[in-house]
Amino acid sequence: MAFVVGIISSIAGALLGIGGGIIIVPALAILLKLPMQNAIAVSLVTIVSTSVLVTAKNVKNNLINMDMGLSLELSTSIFAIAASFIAVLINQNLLKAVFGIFLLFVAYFMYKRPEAKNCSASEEAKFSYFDPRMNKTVYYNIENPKAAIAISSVAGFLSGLLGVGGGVIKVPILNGVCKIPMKVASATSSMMVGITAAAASFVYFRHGYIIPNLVLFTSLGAIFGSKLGLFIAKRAKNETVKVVFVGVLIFAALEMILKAFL
Amino acid sequence: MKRLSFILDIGFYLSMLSLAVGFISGYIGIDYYDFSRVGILILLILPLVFVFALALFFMYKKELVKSIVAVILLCVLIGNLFL
Repeated sequence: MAFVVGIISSIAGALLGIGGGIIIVPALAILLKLPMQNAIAVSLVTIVSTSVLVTAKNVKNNLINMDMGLSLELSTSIFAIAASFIAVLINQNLLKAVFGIFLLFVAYFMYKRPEAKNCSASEEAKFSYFDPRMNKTVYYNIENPKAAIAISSVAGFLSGLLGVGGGVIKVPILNGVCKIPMKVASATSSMMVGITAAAASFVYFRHGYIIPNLVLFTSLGAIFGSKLGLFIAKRAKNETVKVVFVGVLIFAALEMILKAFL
Repeated sequence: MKRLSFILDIGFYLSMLSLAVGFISGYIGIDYYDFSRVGILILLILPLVFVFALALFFMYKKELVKSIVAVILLCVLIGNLFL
């Protein structure tokens, strides 16, 4: 079951750009009936494993903007650590309710997702990367770093508290607010998500919430699912997939909110 | 940077191997739970290795501000281990 959860979370990531935690935490909590803290801990370590693999590839292709990633990551990690200390102390029904509300927000955001912005600038711009698909070097500048730090800290807090990567918040900020091209924004977010999740995971590790066997299967499922996701992405209609996943997210959100109060 | 990518890859596969050994040993009745714990630890330490490598990289390129930010981030992450 954990293997299947990993596959589905990764397919959602490949098709819709949402992180694994949004699928893994509710799936483990609802289907496997795990306590919330265990589900969050397993989700965070799975996020670290997928992030490590993606970052290794992106580092080779020079796609990550290290300047922006590091500046944002400092405050994000501090907030994630603080949130994970809160999460191990509070009642799991409260965590379920908060997660349910967060899922409703994500479902709404996915449905009304803003278009990716074209952020290329002139050759005098400070940063650049080579886009093999366009076969040219794309130049860009970074705008509004302070706003990005503030919003990224909120993403870090949610990551530590709920076991989500926070990519669903970070990528639109990097692209929409900082005007970083989508490819670099995704790669930078993947790197940041891994560091944030690792920072929060240590707190759960010390409290014994991580279940290694589940981590093994969700991670392997996520690797297998990423390949399957790319295969499906070429064939499936994007709009249909989006509607199905929004439906699943709303169902999971309502289920978690109901379970929290009943 | 290519070396860093290689280290991350190797670290990932090592941790998966360790987790798999932990799982199989538990499955056949010889409880080597420590293998699983080691697997998780390797996985969680990889992002710290990444930040450490970045700090070294920026120091080597003599970019002072970035290397200081990387070192502070590393201190936060390592400090978290002892909280």
